[in-house]
Amino acid sequence: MARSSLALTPRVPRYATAAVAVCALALTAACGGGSSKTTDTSGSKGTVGGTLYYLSNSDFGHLDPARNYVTDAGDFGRLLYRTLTTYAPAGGIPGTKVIPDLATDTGTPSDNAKTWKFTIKKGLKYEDGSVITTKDIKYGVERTFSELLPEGAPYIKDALVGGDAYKGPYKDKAGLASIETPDDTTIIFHFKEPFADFPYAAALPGTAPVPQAKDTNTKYDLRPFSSGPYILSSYQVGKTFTMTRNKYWDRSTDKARGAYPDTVIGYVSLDGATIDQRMIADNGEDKNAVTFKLVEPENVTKVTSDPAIKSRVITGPDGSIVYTAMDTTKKPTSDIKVRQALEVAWPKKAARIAGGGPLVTGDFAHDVIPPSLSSHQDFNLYPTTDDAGDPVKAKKMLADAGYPNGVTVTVGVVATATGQKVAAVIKEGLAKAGINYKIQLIDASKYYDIIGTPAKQPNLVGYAWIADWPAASTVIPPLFTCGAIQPQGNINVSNYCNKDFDAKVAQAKAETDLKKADKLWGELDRKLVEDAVVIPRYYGKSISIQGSNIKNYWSALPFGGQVDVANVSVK
Amino acid sequence: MTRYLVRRVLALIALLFAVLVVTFVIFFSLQSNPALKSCGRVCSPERLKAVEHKFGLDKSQPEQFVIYLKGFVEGRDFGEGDAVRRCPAPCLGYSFKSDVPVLTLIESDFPVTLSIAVGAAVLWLLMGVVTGVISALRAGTRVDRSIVGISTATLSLPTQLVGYLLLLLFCVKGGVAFPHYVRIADSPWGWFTNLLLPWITLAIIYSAVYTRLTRSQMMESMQEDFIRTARGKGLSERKVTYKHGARAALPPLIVIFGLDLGGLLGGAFVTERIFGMPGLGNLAVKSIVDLDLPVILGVTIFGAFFILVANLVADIAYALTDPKVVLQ
Amino acid sequence: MASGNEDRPGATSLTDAPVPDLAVPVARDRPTRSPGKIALDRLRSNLPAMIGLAFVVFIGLVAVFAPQIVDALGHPPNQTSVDHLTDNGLPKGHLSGISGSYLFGIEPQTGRDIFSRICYGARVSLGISLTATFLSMVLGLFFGSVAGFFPGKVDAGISRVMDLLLAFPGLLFTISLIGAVPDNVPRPVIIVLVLGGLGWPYIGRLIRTFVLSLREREFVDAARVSGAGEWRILFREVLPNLTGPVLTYTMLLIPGNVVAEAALSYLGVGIRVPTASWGSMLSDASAYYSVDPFYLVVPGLVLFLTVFAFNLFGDGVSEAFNPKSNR
Repeated sequence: MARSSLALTPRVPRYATAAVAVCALALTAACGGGSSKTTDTSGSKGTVGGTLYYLSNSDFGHLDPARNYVTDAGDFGRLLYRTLTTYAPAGGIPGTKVIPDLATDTGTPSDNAKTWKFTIKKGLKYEDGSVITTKDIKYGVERTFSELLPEGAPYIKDALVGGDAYKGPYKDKAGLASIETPDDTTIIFHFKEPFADFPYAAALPGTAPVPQAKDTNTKYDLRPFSSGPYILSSYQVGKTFTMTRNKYWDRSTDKARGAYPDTVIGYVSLDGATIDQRMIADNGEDKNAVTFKLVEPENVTKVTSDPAIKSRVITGPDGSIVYTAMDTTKKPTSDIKVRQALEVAWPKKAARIAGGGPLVTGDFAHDVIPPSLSSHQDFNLYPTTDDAGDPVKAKKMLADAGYPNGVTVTVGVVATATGQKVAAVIKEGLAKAGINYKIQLIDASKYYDIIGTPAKQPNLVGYAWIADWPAASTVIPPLFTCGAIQPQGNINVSNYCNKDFDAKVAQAKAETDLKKADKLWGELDRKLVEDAVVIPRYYGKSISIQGSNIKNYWSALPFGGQVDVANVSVK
Repeated sequence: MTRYLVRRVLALIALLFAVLVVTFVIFFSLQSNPALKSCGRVCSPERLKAVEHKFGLDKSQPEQFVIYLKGFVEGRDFGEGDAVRRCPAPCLGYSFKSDVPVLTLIESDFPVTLSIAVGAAVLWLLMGVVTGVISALRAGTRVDRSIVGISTATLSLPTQLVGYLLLLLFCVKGGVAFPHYVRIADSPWGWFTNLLLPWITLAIIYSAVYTRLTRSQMMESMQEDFIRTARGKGLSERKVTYKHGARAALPPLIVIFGLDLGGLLGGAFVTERIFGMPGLGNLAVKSIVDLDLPVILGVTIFGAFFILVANLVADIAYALTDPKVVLQ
Repeated sequence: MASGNEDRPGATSLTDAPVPDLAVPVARDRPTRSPGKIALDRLRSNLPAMIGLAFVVFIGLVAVFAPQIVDALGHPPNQTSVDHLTDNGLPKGHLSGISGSYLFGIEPQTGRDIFSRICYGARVSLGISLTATFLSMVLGLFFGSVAGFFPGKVDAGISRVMDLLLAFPGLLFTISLIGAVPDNVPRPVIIVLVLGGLGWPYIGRLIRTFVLSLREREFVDAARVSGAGEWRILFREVLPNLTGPVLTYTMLLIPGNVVAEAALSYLGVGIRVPTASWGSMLSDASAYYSVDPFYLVVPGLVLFLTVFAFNLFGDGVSEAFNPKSNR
């Protein structure tokens, strides 16, 4: 899921060059991702009661499960609706494990994982006491096909048989034949190709049940019908919301949610800097407050040096990989030698200081697959002292490659304060290697349009990616294969197209043995760095402050390192 | 008077229409495609087309404009198949981003801007008129010179400097809670206390204008014949000052006041941003970043409407308070 | 003077009391000394105005000689240096890391020299403000006087355009317009065009009113009788009489535009770094107000003092040319 609002509002500079995370359910099974010490109280249990407050500088993009595809809405969506599967209530890697939610297990595949069957628990109820049926889950998935509700994750609808022609339930009354509901507790999905990761995809909000009678189409966003522990009892878009208990939610059927507070009140129109100040001050109801907002770079030193505040700071990997992509089709970055010289010259250390330091940016990255995925391997093909960059060596590399006078590369930089500062520092670092880093500032509103249009994009662009679930198959194929290149809205921003590479990707995707698959993904990862397709910069991190009364909290990897609101307690 | 009003109202409508045309043309000459914002991160060409269709961006610009106008006059239908939603006249369209009618967004954010503007206006008027009267009565003295000097200084302060220094002083150092908007219906006291800092910020900068205007108008009117006559009749100096002097200084004050307030009602951009107040200025800035065209259009029209109405009201008020002016 | 949507009284201008008084025609009587000379004498004896002028001249000199000053006392304005920063990007030391080498401290996250940027920023801030003001004055003077001098269709046409421009919510329109211009047009150019292009109707209206009344005066009739063409009369006979109000209004518009540049930066559509402007510095510093208030105060104070100086001088000019208004 996408970290919401990253860099798109002028004062929320998250990643250095612009990178704006895109989507992201995150991560996986191996290594703890990053060395930071995470304040983590997972395991302990919360106490029921009290009011939880939520402070934010941006409203949810969409709470309608068909449209919910960013981390903050994904996190809060779990309070309002349940899905076939969901993530385990824990911090770090254990929290990336998929567990059953509405379903009794994580699904039964057949026909080479082209068909998946789920049975849901008996006696589950909506907020009005009516029974949740698999027909409502089918209807919920069908809604994601409607042109009116386009924002959600595409995985399930792209994979379903007959999905190309289906227009959604408002236009197409017959429904989608590839989802069968033989009875009220069984649901069977038929996919075009093997879909081994379906239990992960089923944890996205798209599989939440929506009763047809309660569907208010585009207005559903403002008042989703609750199947989860809370009801959205009032909602002033862009300002505040209140959630109160859904008395028909049964704790005994739900292993994923603690749902401890009785009431959740959100203020979503606050100023980013003000949120930091309020969380630091920790007064009144702010003691009961959580926020997903990352600490502003200017406040990091303060919140991590004052012991009273530090104990309330929660940090951890957000599962992202932040990189600068190099266009492999445009001169001079079409020359691999130029790209490799850029890798060597890149002043990672200075850029990170300009970006606000390691706590707001992350650990230095040397490959594309972040450490939170099991396929990650530790290697560094372009080592320099302290990651400071080696302009002397890079200059020589360029001279040897036939550029004795250096090169000029254009770079797209999002016009936020931090984006511009980082670019200025990198420019000076690269200048020492004879590389003229020509900055093209782009308004935040146009950034993705310009860098996503290969005809318009500059040589270098900043990018960040969080996998939608913990598998390299949601990192490498969408970002680096020939088929991913689009004339508009492109995300293979290196325009990297290598038939041999694609063939190996297909091989890795088809590999069912996890160990063998990880090895294949690891080799592909190394190949990308060898070919200098991107300059890996950070394995992203998140840092936020919570109120002093907040207990039972952890940095939840599936939600970009945010607090898991379904499990915090205020007592 | 009636003819005058009719003429002015017709002119107002014509101007609003012209504002709409100009804004529309500017925005649709934008080089960026707003549909990309709602296309999700894996944006296939088909998906993009579908989003463009949903927003009506697949039609030609003149067609889009006609549809928009028709919607404003007669209302408009959105949606498809079973899911058709009526947006009644005057329909300003639906937000691309949140799918909420633009008018609803404006209705929800306007009270914030209104609260900021009216509260600040009351404060700056009070401060300005009081200091202006004192200054005029003590013309030429040290008090007068200090007041004029200080007002020239406060007039020159950058809003950001005032706002952030107030926040630093009261909230960061002084431990006062950071302001956030509270609806007056929810808690009148909370509304008041949370808005105090924005009010003070605006009043510090605006009141100087009123101090100086009051001062010069008072001084001028105190020289007029009718004041001398009043004094001659043996009225107390106090009565002369407030009843006759101040009264004569009123009309130009009302005009400027109306125009300032009308301008602010379209959004107090800088102040809203400093204090994180979710008013129209905030809505507009966010919508520009999100390329949410219908919202930008809506807020622009709304702001223009206030400016024009304020102009009209100011002119009428001027005529009513100043017997020398005849409306025609 | 309908105001725009800015958090500023009187929109693009900081106009106040003097404006209504300007409606008094300037060339009232012809004493032995020329009115211009009398006004200048009056201005010269106005101490606050002279202090204001002195400061304006000082800032002007800083702008002109910024390269020399920075050569002697600072570091190149765009040179970054992370050596003076902590790992989290904040300057080491107190008060933004102020020192003999960094007179006003160090910019967080990049390590640029704030003193140098203030000096170079003077060029941008004053340059934008003066050019935008000049543009407004030229447009306003031309269209205002033409509208006032040629009644009928010409007047009606120009007046309607002015009405339209005045009806726009100024700041909102400015932000959206700047956002809509392609990224490859230099920002200073756009800002000057937008500020100047939207600011002229204020002065245009004023000039029109003056010209309307001057048109009926004897000296215009006399010129006409002597066979002078209409345009010649307008430019040779009528316009020279407007020196007072034009000067006064210019002096009010300049500081207004300095402040407008700062507001645009703050709202994300101003001058882009690395180019320094006071507005962009103030806007960047606002993020640090609680951890490094000194960084906020430096550009804030410079901006304040400059605007204050312009206003003091402007008041003096206004009083000198319209003695009735303030004294």
